[in-house]
Amino acid sequence: MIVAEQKPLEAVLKMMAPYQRVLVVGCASCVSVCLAGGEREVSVLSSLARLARGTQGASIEIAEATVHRQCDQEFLLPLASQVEAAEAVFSLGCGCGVQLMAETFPHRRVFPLLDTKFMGITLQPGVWVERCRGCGECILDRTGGICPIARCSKGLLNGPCGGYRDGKCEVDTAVDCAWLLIFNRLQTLGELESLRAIMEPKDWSEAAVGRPRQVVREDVKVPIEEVIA
Amino acid sequence: MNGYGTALAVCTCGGTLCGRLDVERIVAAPGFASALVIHDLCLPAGSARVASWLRETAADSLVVAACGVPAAVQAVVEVSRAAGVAEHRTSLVDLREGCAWVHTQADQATAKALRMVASAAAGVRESTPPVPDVEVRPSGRVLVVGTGPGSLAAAARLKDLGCEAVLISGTLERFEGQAGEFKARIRTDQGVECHAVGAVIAAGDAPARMPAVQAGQRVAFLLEGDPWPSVTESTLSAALHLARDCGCRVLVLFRDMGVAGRGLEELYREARGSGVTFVRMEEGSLRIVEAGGEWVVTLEVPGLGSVTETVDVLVSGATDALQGTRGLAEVLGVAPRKGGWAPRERALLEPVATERNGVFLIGSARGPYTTDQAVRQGEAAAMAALSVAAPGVIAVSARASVDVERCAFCLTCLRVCPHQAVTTALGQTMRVLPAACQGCGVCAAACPAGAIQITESPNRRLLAEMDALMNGPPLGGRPTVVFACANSAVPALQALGRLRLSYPAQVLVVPVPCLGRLEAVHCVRPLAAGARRVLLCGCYDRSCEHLVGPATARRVVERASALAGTLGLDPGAIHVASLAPVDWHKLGQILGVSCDDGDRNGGEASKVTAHATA
Amino acid sequence: MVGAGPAGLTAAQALAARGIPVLLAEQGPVVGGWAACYACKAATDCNLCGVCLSARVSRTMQPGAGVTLKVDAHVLGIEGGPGSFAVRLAHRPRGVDVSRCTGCGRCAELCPVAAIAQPHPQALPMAYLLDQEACLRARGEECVICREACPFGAVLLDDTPSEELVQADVVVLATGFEPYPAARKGQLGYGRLPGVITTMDLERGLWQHGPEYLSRLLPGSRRVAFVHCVGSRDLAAGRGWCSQVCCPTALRLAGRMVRELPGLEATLFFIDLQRCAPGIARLFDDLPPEIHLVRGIPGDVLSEPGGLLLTFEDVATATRRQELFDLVVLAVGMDSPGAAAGMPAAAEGFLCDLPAGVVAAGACGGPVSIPEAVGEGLRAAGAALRVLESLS
Repeated sequence: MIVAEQKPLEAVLKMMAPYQRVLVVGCASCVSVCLAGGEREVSVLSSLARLARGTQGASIEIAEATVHRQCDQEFLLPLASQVEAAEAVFSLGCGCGVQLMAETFPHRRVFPLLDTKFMGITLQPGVWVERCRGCGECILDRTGGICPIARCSKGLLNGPCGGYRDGKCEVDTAVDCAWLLIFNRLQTLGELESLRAIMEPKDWSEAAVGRPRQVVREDVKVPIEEVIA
Repeated sequence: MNGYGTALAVCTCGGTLCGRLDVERIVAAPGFASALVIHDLCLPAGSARVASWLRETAADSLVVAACGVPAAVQAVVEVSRAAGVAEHRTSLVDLREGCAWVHTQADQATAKALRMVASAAAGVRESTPPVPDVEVRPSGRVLVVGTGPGSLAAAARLKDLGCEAVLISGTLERFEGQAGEFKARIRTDQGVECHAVGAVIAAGDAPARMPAVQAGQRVAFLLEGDPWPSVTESTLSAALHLARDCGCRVLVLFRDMGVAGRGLEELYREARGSGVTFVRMEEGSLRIVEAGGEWVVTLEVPGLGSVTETVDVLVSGATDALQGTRGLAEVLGVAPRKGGWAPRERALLEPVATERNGVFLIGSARGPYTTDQAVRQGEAAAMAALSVAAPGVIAVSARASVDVERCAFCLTCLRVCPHQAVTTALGQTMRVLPAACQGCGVCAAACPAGAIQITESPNRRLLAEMDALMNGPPLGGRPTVVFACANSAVPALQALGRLRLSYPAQVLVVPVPCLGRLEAVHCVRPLAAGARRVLLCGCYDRSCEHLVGPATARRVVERASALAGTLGLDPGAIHVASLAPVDWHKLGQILGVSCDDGDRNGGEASKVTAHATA
Repeated sequence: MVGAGPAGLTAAQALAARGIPVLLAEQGPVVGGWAACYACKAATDCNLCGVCLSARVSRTMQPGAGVTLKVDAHVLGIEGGPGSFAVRLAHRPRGVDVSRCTGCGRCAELCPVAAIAQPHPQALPMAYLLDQEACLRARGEECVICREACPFGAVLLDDTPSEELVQADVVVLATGFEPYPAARKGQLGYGRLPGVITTMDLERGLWQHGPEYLSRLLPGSRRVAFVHCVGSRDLAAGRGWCSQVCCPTALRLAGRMVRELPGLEATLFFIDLQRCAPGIARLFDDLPPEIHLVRGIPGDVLSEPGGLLLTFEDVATATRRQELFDLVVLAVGMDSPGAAAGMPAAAEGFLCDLPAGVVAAGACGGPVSIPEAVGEGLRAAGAALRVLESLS
């Protein structure tokens, strides 16, 4: 899932400051699961914003809504009248959601209330960790199911840098050395020999650098003319 | 068909509350369809009068302002039933112990009473009908794990009581479901067996103890570590047998002789009288050297100097029983979870039960107990298991429910539930198991989608009650809001009332099932509405029945304080306090009253004791 | 069901939950037994003494849920056998009708000699008690103030003892224990020397008065001794058994005292420390520096100008030592409550070898902790149920 974190309340209040009537929109998908932007956060953040305005002797009208996924327009369109009624929209979606919201309602200012962090998993309640960098070309089959690109601070492809101590990374001692994990896993699987194969440099043109990427499935894609027809 | 509006009944407790409160003003509280003053709600005549009045008013909801004694609670249930008002549409306000008896100024007490009544009315209006009862149909089968004396005693007692004990030989691999309808998967030498059982009683295995010793040999037993009764029992039995019946020379080295079990002191005395030598080791004075198949044990004994003994066999006592059954406890879902949230000791405070309904631990699965204790626990567990596993139909009311439309499947509830009451399966929605749920509300507080609500106080109801409490006639100062845990703070508050110890009328109480039910926003809201302080009063970490309440509350307070600071409110105004239900003094200290009202309090209590022992 | 302590209450509720009507007779005015007057002994965290557990057992006792509670009812005799017991109950006059008293307290407000009072702030039933000896009527005066004042007509000034015969199929005895009468060990000075109290006194004092009790007991003083095994593991006193609960209790009380009163030092005198009760092992792992342990039981307590002088054999150093204390707390053992209605008992006084259809639960069968007593209640309920099933 996409893991995100709420912006500090100060920042939220500052963004809201110029407005009297706003819409706060949550997303019931990934960011709900990482406890950042679901229905409850919408309601908590809205009541905090009202309280803040109240303590200044002023008031603010906040409409609350939560959609299934902010990254699909079909879920956003039903919000049209609420968006219309608001001076600005505050999205508790990830970066994708905020952008699609802005694209869908080009006449309204749309503000992000989350900082989108990474693709990851829930390690334990309250702790989420990164597991995938979206490099575009998966090599997990060769590394015992542990990704050296996402989990090695240096993104090394052919073994550890030699700088780890007590199993921890020299860049961040809170992080396990990914290559040690890979070694141990392959040992468990009895496949240590496979490490002898040298991995060629990756084709980074498929990764999250440079031009924006897209995936096209020609068999699924509906030509735009047909939609209009 | 009932009509509309909320009715208000105020009980004056035989008129004794009239001087302390302005009852006329309270019955004239705005927003009620009709109101009645009575004097004896908890007596049959009084409750009958309320019932007939309520039928005439045709109201669809009811607020009763009376007291918190069980008879009054019972009366409200009966009255609403008799008049056809749904139970969730009624609310009882503790006007006596919670207001009239504890506030000295009638005008302030009346103002607070008006707020309490308005709060109850707001809550009743926001209440939701309970989810229909769920039927659980136990088959009368109870899984008994272990081969020790405790499990045999449990199995025998279960049979006597009309249940079937399923004794297994193999390893319990998976255990899921809820009390009354668990599913257990067991791996045996032959393969995998599955059993549907209503409860599980897990005991340790029988201790295999007697060391390999030949007649006439010299034996030393070494008892280090904690003086566990189970170790004393097995060691002393072996030592006595070897010394008395096998002609062995037996030495027992110990620090503390653990005799906290029935018959152990007698066993110790008998062993001493039968030729077993007991020598107490003091810290650091023991030396053991192995030499040619023999052991040379040297000990410094204070006052006697150095003592040396050569023995053929050296038996080291103490096995870690709790560690030994850790895996089993984990499969049963009663061990500390990842992150160490569940303090295991809490389970040890119960005689046989655990935090998971229908799972009972006895004997060495529970602690270092003797055979006698294990057998007693086994018989106790059999009776306890009967209540969830006896054949028949049990109607269980759901204390929490999931709105699947809103659920984001984030699994937070499943992870935070201290009672293993939340479940899901592929292709299924999240489900709260009613026979496992204990209504603490930890899940409701954690749910990011607001999809879980506890029936007793859904979030909207709690917020409505809090808001109504915070807005009302002036109390003579800024309020202090106390969130009171039902297991500790509520009984302690009631005791303060019974002692007529006065505290300021600005103290407004919001009862909650457990502090774990609260979110940061619940703490900030009253501050923003003008409260001076917000206190979360609940159990201690180790006494919390829901295990995580105080720890959750501390995290909530940290977050709430930070939020309060951002909002320009006092970040130091929110606190957590731990107390026991019997420690009303501590609550008094927190609320700023001295509870040592010497004579009245002490005098009465000692009279009870005198009476009891007369 | 005889006795409404943690064991009796648990057994009554467990049987009632199986649809068995239960008559619960308690000789005292309220339920809960000794445990109802114990203090919370939490220091920084709960020490699992079980007082909350006993409070919960009393609190969950619902009126009219299959259990008929009779307080102030003493068992005089039990006759018959399974299915046909006749139990003779004597009712001690309470002076107040339990079914009518709402606890409003008007009587106590007006009584000129404070002879009527509520039992304690968490009592069940909460009905008031009339102390007939303190009442003006005991001196021949015709005072009826309380009766006139009661809005519910609950005061019974002419309440007299009465007897009742009840039928039962099974009898469960949960008559509890008595604390060892510490005054019998005259050399320890209990009842004679001020400053010598028992753990039971300390429990009740803390429960009634809170931490102020400690400062009242020990104004400005700071040395307190706990003497273990008073009336336990002592053949000379006729008590050969280990009472099991006193070591953890002393340790918990000492833990709370040193926390509540800064500057206080506590010394525990013991034979073997029984520290296996739940939660106690952890307390031991980080024993506060103010708690000292001495292996050896003082033979006597003498009143000296500087305080109470304890003379003892320190086993660890094999030396005879003397030390002065301001307060001495005797950790008294658990004694049997005395023969219950002519039932057989072992030499120590605890019930054993009971006739068919009679079941013992809790401390009347031997020393138990509060959680164990609750477990005993469950066990006895099961045993009683088994007898009932064999009858039908």
